[in-house]
Amino acid sequence: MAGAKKTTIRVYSLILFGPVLLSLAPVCYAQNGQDSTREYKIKAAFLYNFIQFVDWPKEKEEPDDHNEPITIGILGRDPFQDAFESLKDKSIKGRMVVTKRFKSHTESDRNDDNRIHPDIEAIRKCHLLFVCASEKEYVGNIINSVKAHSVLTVADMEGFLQAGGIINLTMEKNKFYFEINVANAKRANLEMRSKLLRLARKVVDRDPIE
Amino acid sequence: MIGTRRETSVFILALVIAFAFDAELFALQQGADESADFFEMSLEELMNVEIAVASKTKEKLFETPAAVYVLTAEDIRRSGATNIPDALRAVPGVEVVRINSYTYSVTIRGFMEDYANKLLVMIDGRSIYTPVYSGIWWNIHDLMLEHIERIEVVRGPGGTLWGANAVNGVINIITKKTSDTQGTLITAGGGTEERGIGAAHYGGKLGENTHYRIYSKYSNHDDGPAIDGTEGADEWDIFRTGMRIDWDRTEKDKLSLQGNIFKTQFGDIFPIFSLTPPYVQNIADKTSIKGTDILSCWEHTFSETSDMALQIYYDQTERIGALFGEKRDTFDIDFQHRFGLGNRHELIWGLGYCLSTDNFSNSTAFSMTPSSRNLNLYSGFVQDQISLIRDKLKLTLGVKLEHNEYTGLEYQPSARIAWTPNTRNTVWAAVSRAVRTPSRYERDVRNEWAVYPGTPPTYMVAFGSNDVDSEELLSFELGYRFKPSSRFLLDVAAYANTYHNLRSSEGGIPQFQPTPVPHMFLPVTFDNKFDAEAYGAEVSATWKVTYNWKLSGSYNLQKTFAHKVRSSTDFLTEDIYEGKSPRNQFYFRSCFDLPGNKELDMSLKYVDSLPGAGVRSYMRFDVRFAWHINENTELNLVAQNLLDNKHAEYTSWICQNTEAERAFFANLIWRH
Repeated sequence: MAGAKKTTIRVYSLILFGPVLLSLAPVCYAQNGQDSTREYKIKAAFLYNFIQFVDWPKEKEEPDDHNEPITIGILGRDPFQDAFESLKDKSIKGRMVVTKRFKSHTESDRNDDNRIHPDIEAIRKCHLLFVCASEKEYVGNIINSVKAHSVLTVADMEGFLQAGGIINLTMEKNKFYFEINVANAKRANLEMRSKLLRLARKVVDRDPIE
Repeated sequence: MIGTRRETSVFILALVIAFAFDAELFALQQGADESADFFEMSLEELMNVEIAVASKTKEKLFETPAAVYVLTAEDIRRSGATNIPDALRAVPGVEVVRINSYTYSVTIRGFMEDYANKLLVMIDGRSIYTPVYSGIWWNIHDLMLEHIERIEVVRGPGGTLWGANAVNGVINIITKKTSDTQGTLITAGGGTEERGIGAAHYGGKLGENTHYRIYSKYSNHDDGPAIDGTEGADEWDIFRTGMRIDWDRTEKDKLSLQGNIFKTQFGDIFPIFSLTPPYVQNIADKTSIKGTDILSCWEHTFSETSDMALQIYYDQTERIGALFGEKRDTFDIDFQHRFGLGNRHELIWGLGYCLSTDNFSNSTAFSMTPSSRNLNLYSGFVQDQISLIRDKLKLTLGVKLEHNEYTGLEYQPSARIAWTPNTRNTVWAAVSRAVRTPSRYERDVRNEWAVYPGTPPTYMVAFGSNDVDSEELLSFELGYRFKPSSRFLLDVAAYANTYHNLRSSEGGIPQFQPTPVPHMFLPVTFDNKFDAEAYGAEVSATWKVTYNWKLSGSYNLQKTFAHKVRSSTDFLTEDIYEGKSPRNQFYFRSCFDLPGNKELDMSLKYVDSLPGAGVRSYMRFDVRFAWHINENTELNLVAQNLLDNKHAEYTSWICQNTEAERAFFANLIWRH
């Protein structure tokens, strides 16, 4: 019995270690050198996920040009850096996803009194617009200028939903959550799938406090 | 030993297949960086990602030098299971049998018995195995499954950290913090086997940092068909209610308090023996158990590398039944402290004390002498994790000392080593010793086992013995994890276990007794005259094929060779140790998110025959379909055991056996 036992152990070790050694060979270089913070890598993935659970009106959902990508706009001082880098080879609903950066209001022409962003036409074409923390002062303006154009506005700042924003990312106990203002989504003519609503920490269904 | 060759080939084949898959995925994923990993995650997963990288004292699962599997809340929800043992069927290497509608036996790495005794099971750190037979009465722990955050399953000895009884594994059920169960939840459902399950909770806030929840659950279960074709008497119900409060006083001090009450009643059939014909009569009866438990815990963080926890609980159960009654009070206090020492050492040490007091009401068929006992248990452990090469090679040495009422001082040392050359591979190995201390039954019982008809009839009675010693295990383990991307994980573990001093049932010399009617009296006394070797391996893999489709599968092989020592007169136990656990198990599962907020989940499990229990191999095929009607409402339709009308999963000696039937179940969950 003892001899048989030893043989069995030997067989198992062989089975176990053979593939281990084989598989080690090609994976010695772990890639590193990302600049964006872990926080924004996670937030980037949230944005990517949101797109999967929101339906845009026909002109944005099924454009005439089928090659037209889904656009994530980033407005303001960009905290994502290269967090979206690996999105290049991914698609959602059969369409590519691209990101577009837009200058902060503070950097754009400030003489303009009505504070309309110079790239407003391009911003309106975005599917999702992430409003960076640098734009806090202008949130109301931004939302007003895109609300009729089915743009999913997302941010990570307090008061964003009250200001008319649709999704706000929040942090609690070292984890991220998100809250949704359904009324704002309806106004933007966006359909939120119920899975998204179910996972939201808070769903607000009323008009912004004027 | 020749017999293992076939199994070994199957095992190799499974591995080769798994690796072939790997190679392909690897090619696809090569060069993927960490940000790509997050893009592979679902929203649920993202919401579980800790923003700050976990402090280094918290060991990452991937690098753990033990065979660990975590069943998440999402896994449980999508399994369609209505109780914990059914949910555990999905865990690689776990053997689950349903004996009747309320009796389950759960084992890991063999040694399935009517009352399996080599596992330690805890709910939030409160041990739920009963000292009566060192096993678990699963039915009384009918938690709201929605409250379970995760179930950690350790295959293999966990004695160094957890203590005695963690011989073949540890199951740790962790419930959600109250901040994660805010709001109202109401669920109601019913089906062919589960007549009705209803539960509700409400979670609220008492202050900025204080959350609470209260809940109640009632369930009522149908009886099953007995193996001999008659109607079973195993219908039962249970009511449970409780509360929990979490107070995060500061970032560094967290307190929690929880309490539960339950009451259950179940149908039971047990034999009444007589020395005159018909010798044995099966009597149906109702047994009821009620219990209360209260647990408080204080966690304090000193620094990033140092924290402590103090936990106190009190648990009372009272069983009233015709065979025996039992009242048990358990008081337990545990302290644990973790700190870093220099750059390379991370120490954990702890002290514990447990007092378990019981009081039995005896019957002629079943009695304990003495009828009341105080069991004092003192324990202490220390474990040092030494970082030999930073982040790459870790050695963990530990020992637990325990003093128990029956066998005195027991020691359980272990040495574990894990090598993580990069983020994709971990190889680990371990040697450990674990013990199972004797149960009250093995020491103190007098239990009528059988009357064999004849002239004169033979009257067999089992006796506990003060000589019963601890069972010992020396275990060698080897494991490997491979994660080519965040979408794929392969986990392999193999073990060779040597058991010593296993329980035996020694047949005594039959004596002729003239009264009350002439009969032969055959005493059976418990002893430790069995040894065994067990070998096996578990392979499991999960693969997120797309963001809405996840596949997982596992295979495990276990083989036990038991042999009694020369002086033994045991004629029962060899079949139990060798033939009551499945040698092969396959499990395959697919979880698919359908468009329109629907989910379709399927699982298939093959369980090998149990020659020692006279059970043929069977396949379980379960399907769950769920529809999230809106953000608040979820409808679940579950079909279990679709492949046959009914099948037996086990035959027990002690309790009634009923078969697992094809079952349908529907429920509605409403959250607000």
